[in-house]
Parts: sequence; structure tokens; C-alpha cells
Amino acid sequence: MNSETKKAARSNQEDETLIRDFLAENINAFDRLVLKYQDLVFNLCFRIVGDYDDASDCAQETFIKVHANLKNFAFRSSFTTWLYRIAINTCRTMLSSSGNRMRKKMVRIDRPGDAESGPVEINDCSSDPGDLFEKNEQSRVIHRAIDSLPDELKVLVVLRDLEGNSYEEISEITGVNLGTVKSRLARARHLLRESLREVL
Amino acid sequence: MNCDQVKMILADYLDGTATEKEKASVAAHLKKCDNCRDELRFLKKYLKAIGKYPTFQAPDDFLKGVHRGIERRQRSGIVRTLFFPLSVKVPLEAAALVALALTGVLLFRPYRTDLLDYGPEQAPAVTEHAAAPDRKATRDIAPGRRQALPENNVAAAPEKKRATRPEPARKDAAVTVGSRPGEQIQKQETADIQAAEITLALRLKSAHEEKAATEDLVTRESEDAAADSGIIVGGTSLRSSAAPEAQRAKTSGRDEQRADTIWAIDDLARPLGGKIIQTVMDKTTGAPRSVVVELPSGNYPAFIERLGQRWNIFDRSPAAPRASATLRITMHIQD
Repeated sequence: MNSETKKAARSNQEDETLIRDFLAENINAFDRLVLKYQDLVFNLCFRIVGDYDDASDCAQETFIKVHANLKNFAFRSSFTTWLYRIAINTCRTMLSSSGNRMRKKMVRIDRPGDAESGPVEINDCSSDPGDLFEKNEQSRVIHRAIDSLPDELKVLVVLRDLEGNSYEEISEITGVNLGTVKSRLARARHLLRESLREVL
Repeated sequence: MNCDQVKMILADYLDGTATEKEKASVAAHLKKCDNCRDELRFLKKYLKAIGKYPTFQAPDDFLKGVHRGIERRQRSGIVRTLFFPLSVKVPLEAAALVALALTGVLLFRPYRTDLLDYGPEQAPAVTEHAAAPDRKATRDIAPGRRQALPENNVAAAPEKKRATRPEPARKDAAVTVGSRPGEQIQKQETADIQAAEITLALRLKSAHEEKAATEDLVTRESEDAAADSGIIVGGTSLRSSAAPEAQRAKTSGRDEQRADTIWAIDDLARPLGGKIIQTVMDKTTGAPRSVVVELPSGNYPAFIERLGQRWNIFDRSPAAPRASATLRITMHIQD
């Protein structure tokens, strides 16, 4: 897990200083924030949207929104929680966009074994996860299993199992109450157990 | 604890974050439930596999991409400010636009009937100076139409008050007749709600008929010069007002005579304390179709007599006007 990355990222004191510098129109402060959190946000987005290019777009869009709204940040929650919330919402928007849904649909109707219609050529523009998980077949299978979950369950699994957030943080990030978070996570793991039965 | 409750805290049981009470309950349940034991075995493998899940680095040009996006957003800031969120701002802006358009329509009222006046000329500005007509207003209407205006047709003062209707009996009314196709209202005027009404049908006489009628009238005038013919507003010379010779001199054709109809009727009515209150023009030909004149009832015979010099009156409805201080004469003019 990337707990070390998170530990490095969650230095609230440093975040607050950078934010105040940014509000004082220190041009470099925002760049430093981006460089500090770009990997964290990119990985979160990749785990949710399941595509390298889309993840890059989502992560960049997240920081663009942060830049536009940082002056409204009231320090009521930690910066990382706020950042996660923006990233999750950006990913949800991406997942619910018509283009994304159409692309997923195109991939799912790919049935090479259909004798009458013959092999169907699918132009899947997403990066092949096989390249990214070249040396880790098990992780590739898990990635696909998580990607096949319904969006509201996938977000919770990513935040809890991959990002290591507590239930309270997940509740704050997603706006879902604590009990619902736990029950949905149990349901998501049950679904994962079904799809990963042969692998694990 | 049932299976669902156990599955909800199974991950916490594994990583040791469950409470002691929860741990005891889960342990007791696992001893007797194969399915939950399978779930626990899966979770152990799953969490171990997840631990090896790779972490990726953001693309090299990530920061540049963020900068480009920020610049792009700042460029489109005005559009976003104006229209986003679409679901809120577009309906609001549309409503504001409609309100603005309605305000403009209400202020300028392009549908007003008085803007539909026929032709380049304006209707004569008929005033309350019934016995002292303002000829300047008439001149202003069509300067090129009339060559000479009689100077001595201003009536004497004593009878003037009799001809002037009392103010309380009046009301402002927008007259909206002339709904037939090809016709338009030429002017709106103040109407007298107590006036009696009579309708005449006129046709312009030929030059021969007109000359004969004029000579007959002049002959009768010379025989009885002192007779006033019951005219209330006196002091007006028939010659000077009707002026058939002058009219003939200035009108060279039938069409021009027809076009001068309004002015001729105005010439007749004004010395008798009357005025044109409404005209209806043919939109296509420009010829007058109807002219409505108001005048003191006592002057009706004189008006009819003078009218008969140039027009054949072939229909009257009713045959004689009812008794009233004021008479409204509607004249339908036929070719």
C-alpha cells in the first residue's frame, strides 16, 4: 500500500503554509502543492476510473478546481480530505459522462467467440492495464474486479482498501454516513469474492 | 451476531481495529459458520494481494497540463460566469430577456392603432376652436395641396360659445372603426357621447352638375342676402369657404378632386362650427371612404345644402336627425 506516500502527504502544517502562501499570491506555492499531491491524486483517479489517460485528465481537472476554489477553503477539514472529495467528484463526473459509458459498453459487447458475426474489432482507446500490471498478474485481475463494481461501491473499496482511509474519513469524503459505508464495503467485498474466486 | 453483521466487521477483526466485544462475537460466530470462515479466508488473501497493488507516478508533463487547464479556464471565465451552471443561469437570463422585451413593447407600443395612419400625411389636427378654425394646422398637414386658403372664414365671436360643446359632456374615446380590409383609421379624436347621428351616402358630382348647383346657390343668395339660413355660426362667406371656382382651378382631374374630398368637407364644416372627427381612407387607392363630421345640429341644413353643391346625396339614414345639440354626420363616399 502507499501508506508511506500518504504519511508524507498528510503533513497538515505544511499544507496550511502552502495554502496561505498561495492566497498571498506566491506563485510557486500552488505548484508545490501540485507536486506534493499529484501522485496521490493520480493513483486515486486511476483506481476509480480504471484508465491511465482518463486518470490523468481527472487528476489535472482536480487541481484546476483546487486552484479555482482554494480561496474558499476554510481549514475546517484537512486539505487532503478536501482534495480527495474534489477528486472523487471529478471521477464520478467522468464515470457518468456519456462518452465514458459508451466506451465501456463497446468493450463489453466484444465477443470474439461469436461464430456468425465473426470477430468484432473494438477500438478501445484506453491504455491497456496489462502494460501497467506487467509484472503483477494478480493485481491486474484485482484491478479489473474492482473496476467492474458499481461506482458507489468502487469508490468505497478504493478509499478503504487501496488508499487506507478510515471509515470516518471515507464518510467525510463521500458524504455517506458511517453505517452505510460499512455495509456497502461488506457488500463490495462479497462481490469481489465472487469475481476473484478463481484467483484468490 | 448474524452473518451480515459479522461480514461488516470482518475486515476490522482481521486488522485488529474491532473492539474486544466485537472480536469475541466474531470468533464465536466463525466457529459455527463455514460461509463466514470462507469470507475470512478470502479477505486475508485479498488484503495481502491489495498490499502488492502497484503505485504509479503521474505523467511527466502533469504540472504543465494543470497550468494549461488553469489558463484555459481563465480565458473562458466570462462565458462560465455568464452561462454556468446552465440549469440556473440560462433560464434566469432567458426570463430577464423576455421581461426586457415586454418592457420595451409596453413602453413603445408598436401595435398602437394611431401608428397605422395612412400615407405620408397626418390627419388634420381638429381642435376645440370650432368657430375659429386654426387654418395653420390644416396648412401643416399638406402644404402642397392647397393653393390658397380663405382668410375671412373666421367666425364672429358671439355665436362661438353656442357652437362650443360643454366640457362635462365629453369624453376621450379612441375611435376604432374601419375594420374592413383595405381600410385604416386615419385619426383618433374626441367624441361627443350625446351627439345625434346621421349617415349619408355621397358621390362626387360631375363638373357640369357641380357648376349648375353652384349657380343655383349664388342666385338664391343674391335674392335673399339677409337671410342667414339658420346658420348659428355666422359671418362666413359661402363663396370664400366653398370657392368652387378656386377648387376647379386647382383640381385638374377627377382623382385630384377625390383626393381633396377631406379638405372640401373640412371647408364646409368649419365655418358652420363643425369639424372632422374621423376619416377612413382606402389603403389601396388612398381615396377617402368615410368622413365623420360633428357640428351643431342647427347648422345641419346649411351643411347639407353646401354639401349638395359638389356631391350627390343619394341616401340618408335616418331621413332626419333626432333633436340634439350636436350632430355627428357619417359620410360614406362612393366613386
